[in-house]
Amino acid sequence: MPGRWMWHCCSLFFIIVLAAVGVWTFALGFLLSRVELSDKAVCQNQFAAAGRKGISCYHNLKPIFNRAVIVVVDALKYDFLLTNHSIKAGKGRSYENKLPVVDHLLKHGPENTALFKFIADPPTTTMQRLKGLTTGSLPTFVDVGSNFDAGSIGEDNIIDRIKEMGKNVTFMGDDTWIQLFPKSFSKAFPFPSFDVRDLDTVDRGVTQHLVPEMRKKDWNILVAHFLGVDHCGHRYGRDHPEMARKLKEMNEMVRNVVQNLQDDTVLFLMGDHGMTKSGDHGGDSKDEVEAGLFVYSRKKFIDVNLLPDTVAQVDFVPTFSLLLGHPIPFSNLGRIIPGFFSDATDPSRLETALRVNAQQVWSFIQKYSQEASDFPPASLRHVDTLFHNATSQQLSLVAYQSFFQQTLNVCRTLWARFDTKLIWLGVVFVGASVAISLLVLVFISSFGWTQSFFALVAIAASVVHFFSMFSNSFQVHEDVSVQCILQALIWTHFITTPPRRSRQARGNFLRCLLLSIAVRCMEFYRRCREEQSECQVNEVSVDFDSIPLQSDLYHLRRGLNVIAYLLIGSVSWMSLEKRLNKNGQVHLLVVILFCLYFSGENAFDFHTVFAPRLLYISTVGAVTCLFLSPNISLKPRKSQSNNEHGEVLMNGNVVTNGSSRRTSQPEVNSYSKADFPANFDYALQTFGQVICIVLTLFLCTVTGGTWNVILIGLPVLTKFHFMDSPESSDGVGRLVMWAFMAWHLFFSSGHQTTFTTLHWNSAFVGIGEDSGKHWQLFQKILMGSETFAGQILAAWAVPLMMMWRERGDSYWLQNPEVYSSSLWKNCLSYQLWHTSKLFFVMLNAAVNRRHLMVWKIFAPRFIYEALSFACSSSALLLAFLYSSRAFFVLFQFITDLQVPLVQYPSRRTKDIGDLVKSSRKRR
Amino acid sequence: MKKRLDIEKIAISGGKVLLSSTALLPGLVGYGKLTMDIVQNPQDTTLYLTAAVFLLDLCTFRYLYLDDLQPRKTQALFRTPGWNFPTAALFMLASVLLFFVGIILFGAPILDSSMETLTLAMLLATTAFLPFCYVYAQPVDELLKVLQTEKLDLSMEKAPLFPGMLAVVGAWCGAVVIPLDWDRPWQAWPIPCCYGAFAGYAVGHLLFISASITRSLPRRYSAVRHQQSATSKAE
Repeated sequence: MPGRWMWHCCSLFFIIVLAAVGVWTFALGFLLSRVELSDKAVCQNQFAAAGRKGISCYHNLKPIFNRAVIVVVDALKYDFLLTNHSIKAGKGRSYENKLPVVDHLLKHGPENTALFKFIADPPTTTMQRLKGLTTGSLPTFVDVGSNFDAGSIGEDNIIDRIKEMGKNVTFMGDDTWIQLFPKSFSKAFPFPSFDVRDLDTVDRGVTQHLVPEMRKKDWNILVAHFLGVDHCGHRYGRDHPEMARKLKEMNEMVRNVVQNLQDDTVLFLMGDHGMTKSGDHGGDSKDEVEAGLFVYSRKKFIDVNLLPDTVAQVDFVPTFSLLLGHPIPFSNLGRIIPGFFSDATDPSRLETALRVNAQQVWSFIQKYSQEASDFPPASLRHVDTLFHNATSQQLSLVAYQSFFQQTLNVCRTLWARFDTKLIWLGVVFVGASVAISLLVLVFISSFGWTQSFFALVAIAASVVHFFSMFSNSFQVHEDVSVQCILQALIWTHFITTPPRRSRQARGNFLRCLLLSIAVRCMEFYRRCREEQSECQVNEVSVDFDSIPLQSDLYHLRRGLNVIAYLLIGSVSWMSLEKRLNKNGQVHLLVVILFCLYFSGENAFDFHTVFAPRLLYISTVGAVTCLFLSPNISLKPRKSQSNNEHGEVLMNGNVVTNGSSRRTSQPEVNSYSKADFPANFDYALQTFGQVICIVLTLFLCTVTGGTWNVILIGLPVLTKFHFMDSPESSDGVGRLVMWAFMAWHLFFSSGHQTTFTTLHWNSAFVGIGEDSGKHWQLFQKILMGSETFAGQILAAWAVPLMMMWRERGDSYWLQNPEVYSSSLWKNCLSYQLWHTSKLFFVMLNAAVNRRHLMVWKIFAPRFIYEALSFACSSSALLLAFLYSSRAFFVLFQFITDLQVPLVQYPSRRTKDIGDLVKSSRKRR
Repeated sequence: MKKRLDIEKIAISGGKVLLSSTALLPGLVGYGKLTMDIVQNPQDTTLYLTAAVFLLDLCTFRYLYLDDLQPRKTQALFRTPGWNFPTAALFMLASVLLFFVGIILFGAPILDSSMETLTLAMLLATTAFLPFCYVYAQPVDELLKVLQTEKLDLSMEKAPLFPGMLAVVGAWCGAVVIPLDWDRPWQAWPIPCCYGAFAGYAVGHLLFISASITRSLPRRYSAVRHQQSATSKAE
C-alpha cells in the first residue's frame, strides 16, 4: 500500500508543481512592465548634434524659490479642500468644509495661491503615487504587489537631484519614503505606516516635528507625509465623525505651516490619491483618482489666466524642479503648469520653461525607444513631428500641450510591455498540467467517460463557467454567476438523485433547501466592486468599526452577533459534550476564545491581543497534535445495545471511560450516531479541524460578522451528510459543486477580485498596536488566509466528502486500497477543476492583453486566481497528507485490535463497533 | 372492414395532429409579435403570453397527448367529473409562490423589482405545473410520481412535465445574457429569462409532438387490433 500511495502523492505533487511553474512563468512575462532607465538628467548638447536649434537648460531659468515645503496628506481628496458656503456650520457630511484655511487663502491672495484637481495615475496606492510624484513617470502594474516591501527607486527623481546639487532634504512621516530613498535625506523622522487601525501616531509625530524643523535653517526641501486621513478612511469610511476630527487637525496644521512660511519658500499641499465612499483606494474610479493640490507662497508669482483646473500628478515634477531651479528628472513625462512661469517683465520665461520641459521629455522618448525595442516607429515619428512643431514655431501653448499630451498617451498605451514568449510558455505549462491530470484520470484511474447525468451537467456548467472568463462582464459579475450555477447544481443534484424511500426524499429535499438558503443568504455579506452599478452593499456587511457607536445599527449588529455566539457555542457544546476528549477540549477553547474576541469592547488588551494570539497558538497546536497522532480522539464509548439476536453485548469498550449509558436499538438496520464511535469520531476529528480553521480564518474577517461563520458552517455540515445515496458518493458532480462552493465562499465573505476590496483589517487581528517589521510575514499569512478562506476550507474538506453515512469508514477500513485510490482520485479531480479555471483565466489574460480592461479587470483577476490556486493547492496537499495519515493510523489501530476483518456482503454501513461486536461473538 | 377501420383511425389521428399543429402555430406567431413589445411592456406581455401558453397547453393535451396517457390517470377536466377546481387553484397558487422563492434563491433581488420576479414566477408555474392541473385529478401526487421516476425520456407520462422543465432550464440559460455590458433594453430583468422560458417550452412541445406523431401510428394500430381481438373473444 505505501508504494502505491507514494505514487499517488508524487503524481498529485507533480501536477501542482507543474501548474505552479506555469503560473510563475506567466506572471514574469505578463506583469513585466517597462524598462527602467537609470540615466540622469544632463544638459548635454545632444540636440545640437541632431541639428536642432534653441538649446535650453534649466540653468537658463532663474529659480523663483530657494526652499519648498511639501506636505503630503495621504488620501486628501479634492473635495476635502473645497469649502461650500451653502452648507451651514455643523451641517453637511463629515468631510465637507473641514479645511476652511484653504478657502481663506484663496480668497485673500489669488496670485499667491492655486488649487487644482490633482489627477493620479492608477493604481492609486501610496507607493506607486510616491514614485510618480518624484520621478514623473507612469506607474507599472507589477509595483502593486510590492506595495509593502518596495525596493528603492532606480530611476532619476527629484530627491536625488536635490541631493546631488548639495541641498538638504528633511523628511518626516510615512516610512514608505525611507524604503524608496534609503540614503537621500539629511534628516529623517520616519513613522511606521502599516498599521491601518492607528490613526494618530504618524500624524502626532509629524506635527510635533514640523514647525520646529521649519524654523531651522538646515533644509532646502522639507517633506512631511501625514497618514491619519487615509487610515481613517480605511477604518471608518469617508463619512464618519473621526474623519471630521482628522481633517480639522489637518486644517490646524496647514494654518501653522502657513504662518511659519518664509518669503522664499513655497508650500505644496497635496493628496497622493483620493478615496472611495468606503474609504478605500487602489483602483481608477473618479473618487480614487481625484486628489487635491494646493500651492501657496507669500510671493505673488501666479498668472491666474493660465491656470488649468486639473493637473496630472506627473506635472508636479517639472513644475517643482523648474520653480526651484533643479534639473527635471530624466524619465519625467509631466509638463509644467504654465501659470507659474509666465512673467510680465520677462515674456520669454514661459517659453524657456516649456522648451526645457519639452526637450527633456523628447530626449527621454528618444533614449527609451533606443533601449526598448518595441516602441512603435509610427508613434515615435508622430511624437517627433509634434515636438518639432512645438519648438520651431513661435510660442504656442497649444502645440506644446498637444506634444505633451500625445507623448503621455503613447507611453500609457505602450507601457504594458509583455514578454510574449514567457506568457505563452506559462499557458502551455498550465495547459500541460490540465492535460496530464485529465489523461491520468481517464486512462489510469478508470474514471471513465460514462458519468451520471448530474456529473455531466456539472461538467457542462464548469465548461460554460470557464469560457465565461473570456468576458469582462462575467468577470465583473462572477459572484452572481457562481451563485446561480451553484444553485442550479444543488437542485439538479436533488432531482437526479433517486431516493429509495419517501422519508429519504424528504430529508434530501430539506438538506437541499437548507443548503440553497444558506448559499443565498451568504450573499448578504458580499461587497460590491465599482463596475457593478446596480449593486448595493447590505448593511450587515458594513465594516463593524465604521458603524457609529450607539446607533441602532450598532445595537442590532451587536445583538445579532451575541445570538450568533450563543448558537456557535451551543452547537459546538452539543456536538462535543458526548465525547469531550482532548481534541474536543481544544475545539471548545477555540470557540470560547473566538466568542471572547468578538464580544470584547476592544477596551482591554486581553480581547484584542491576547485572545487571538492564544487562539492562533491553540489552533496550530491542535492541528499539529492531530497530525502527529490522529487517533487521539479514538475513545469509543462503553454502551450496551441489542444486536440482531437480541443478546446484550458490550460494545466497543476499547478504552473505557466513566460513563455508561443504556441505549436501546429498536431498528436493526438503522444505526444511531451513538453506535458509531470510531466512525463518527474519525469524521468529527477531521470536521473539527475544519471548524477550527474556519473560526481562525474568520476571526480575521473583521468585516463579515459572525453570522457568516454560521452560514459557511452550514454548507459544510449539510455537505457532510448531503445525500443519502451511495451511487453518488464519489461522484464528479459533488466535487465540481464543492469547487464552485469554494469561489462562492470567497465572494460571500466580502471579497471581490479587485485590490480595492482587500480587507486590510484582517492583517491586524491579534497583532496589536506594537506591530513591527518582524510581524510582516505573519500579517501577510493572516491576510492571505482571510482572503482565500473559502478556497482553503473547501480544499481541506475534500477528503471529508468521502465520509458518507452509507460508506462510513468501516467500508474504507475493509477496502484500504479503494480508500487510497478514491482519495487520490477525488483530490486529483478537485485540483483539475481549479487548474482548468486557472488555465482559462490565464488564456484570457494572454489573449486580451491589449484589451481596454486589462489592468482594471483581467490582470487583478489573474493575480487573484494565481493566489487562490496557491492557497487551494497547498491546502489540498495538506488535506491529502493528513487524511491518508489519519486513515493509516486508524487502520493500524484496528489491525492491532486483532479483530478479524469480516467481508460484508453489501456496502451497507458497518462500523468499528460492529467489528468489535462480531469479534467478541466469535470468541 | 378491418383495413378500412385502421385507415379511418389513422386519418383521424393525423387530422388531430394537424389541428394541434395549427394551434401551436398562431401561438408561436403571437409570441414572435409580442416579443417586440416585451421590452416596453414586459409584465402585460408576459401575462398575455401566459394565457397563450395556457391555450396552447389545452389544445395539445386535448387533441394530442390525452389518448396516449394511461386512461386511469386522465380524470381531467376534459372527461371525468373527479376534477375539482379549488385543489387545482391552490396547487397553482402554491407553485407560483414556490417559483417566486426559487427564483430569489437563484439570485434575484429580494425586495426590489418583485413584480418582475412574480411575473416570471407565474410564467414558469404556468408552463411547468398547469398541465398537471387539467390532466390529473390529483396533481400533487402525479407531480411527485413523475419527479421520482428515475429516467428522463419522452414517454407520454412525462408530457405534462417535460416542456415545463425545459422552460425552467431555458429561463436559467436566458439569465446568462443579463450581466453582459451591451446596454440593450431587452437585457433588463426578467426579459431574457422569459425569452428563454418560451424557447425551452416550445422546444419541449415540439419534441413531444414529433414523438407522439412517430409513435402514434404503430401504437394505434396495435390498440385497434387488441380491441378487435377482445371483442372477437367476447363473441
